[in-house]
Amino acid sequence: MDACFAAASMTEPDPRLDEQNLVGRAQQGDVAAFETLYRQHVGRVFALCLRMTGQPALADDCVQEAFIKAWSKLSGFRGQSAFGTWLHRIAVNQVLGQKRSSQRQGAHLEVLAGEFKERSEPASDGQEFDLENAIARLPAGARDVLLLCGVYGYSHEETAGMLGIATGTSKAQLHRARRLLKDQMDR
Amino acid sequence: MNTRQTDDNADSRLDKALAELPRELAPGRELWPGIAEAIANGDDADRRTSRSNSGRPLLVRLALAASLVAVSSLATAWWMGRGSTDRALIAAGKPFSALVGPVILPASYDETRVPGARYLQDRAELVQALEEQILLLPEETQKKVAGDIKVIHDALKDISMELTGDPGNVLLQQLLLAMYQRELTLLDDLNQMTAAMKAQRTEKRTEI
Repeated sequence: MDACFAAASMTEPDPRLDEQNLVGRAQQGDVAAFETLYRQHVGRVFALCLRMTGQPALADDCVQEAFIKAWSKLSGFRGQSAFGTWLHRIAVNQVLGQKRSSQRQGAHLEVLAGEFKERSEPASDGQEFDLENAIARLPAGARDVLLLCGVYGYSHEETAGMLGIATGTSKAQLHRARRLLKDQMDR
Repeated sequence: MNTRQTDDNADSRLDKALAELPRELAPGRELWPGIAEAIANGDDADRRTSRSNSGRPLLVRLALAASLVAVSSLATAWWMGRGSTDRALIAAGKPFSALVGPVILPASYDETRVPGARYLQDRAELVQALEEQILLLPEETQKKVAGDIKVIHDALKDISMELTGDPGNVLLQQLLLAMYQRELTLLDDLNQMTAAMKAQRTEKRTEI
């Protein structure tokens, strides 16, 4: 039985080597290889974008733009971090850029302010603690750090680098996010 | 149970809940065709707006871009036509209120909520003020105004049509709001220009 497992594991390709191979091929212009990378990573990238934006359609757009940007920057990827981490960094930049753009646009919409507010209120069914909903309600800074640090396991240094904040701010925001979530859990 | 134990308990419950969150979620639509199209076209994501290209008619983008030019070009057209205001003033073929028409809305929207009652009131007041004032503008400028309004309305129709099929799309919602704002800004600019012209003419008459 053990021998069977050993034999099987010898024939299975190392996923990291496989990914390196795909990245290398994609860097040479192989779109099919890039599509495979997309299929492997889209779920994680989308989950992060969705939780950061709280808007499925906006998250879709951010993911799409992130992968397009990744393709155009692929030649600059040197493998110093995991490909997934590199993609996450691009996606986070995309979401933050989108938020800044939305804020600029919002400044011109004073006359119409608040009209969509009711539409975007998160649903609450009054049942057991809904962590996704609670995360969505966190202040943006605390939410972003919680997602990168607390959910996706990035270090405070990596999180701070992705979000363009100080490491100390990342730690403070994580503490704040956890405190707010615990308060909501106890209600 | 003391405070520290309660905190530890809450921390471990939170850690457990966070650990159970799915790390992967499927997007709401197939995103690869849009990415493949952009790659095939050699699009550089940095140079484009952050919204998606796939599934949206080209006209939305063109109309939006055109309407961004429209308001500034209106001022130019008015400035160039300033000297000819004493020539025969003509109507643009139909009343201004008919040219502007009712607010263009996505099928499922209620105009008292989106764009909202205040917008409707401001718009109605501006249209009413412009009904006669617009005739103070030279013929060329009136045509330019009619063209600018049509560009904005074409964009509103495109965006409304897209929103009818995708009502939760935030970028489309923002585009729609921006376009309503654009129309209101155009009407307000027109009102200010023509009101100034009207005041000038009144002053001249008084001097005579």
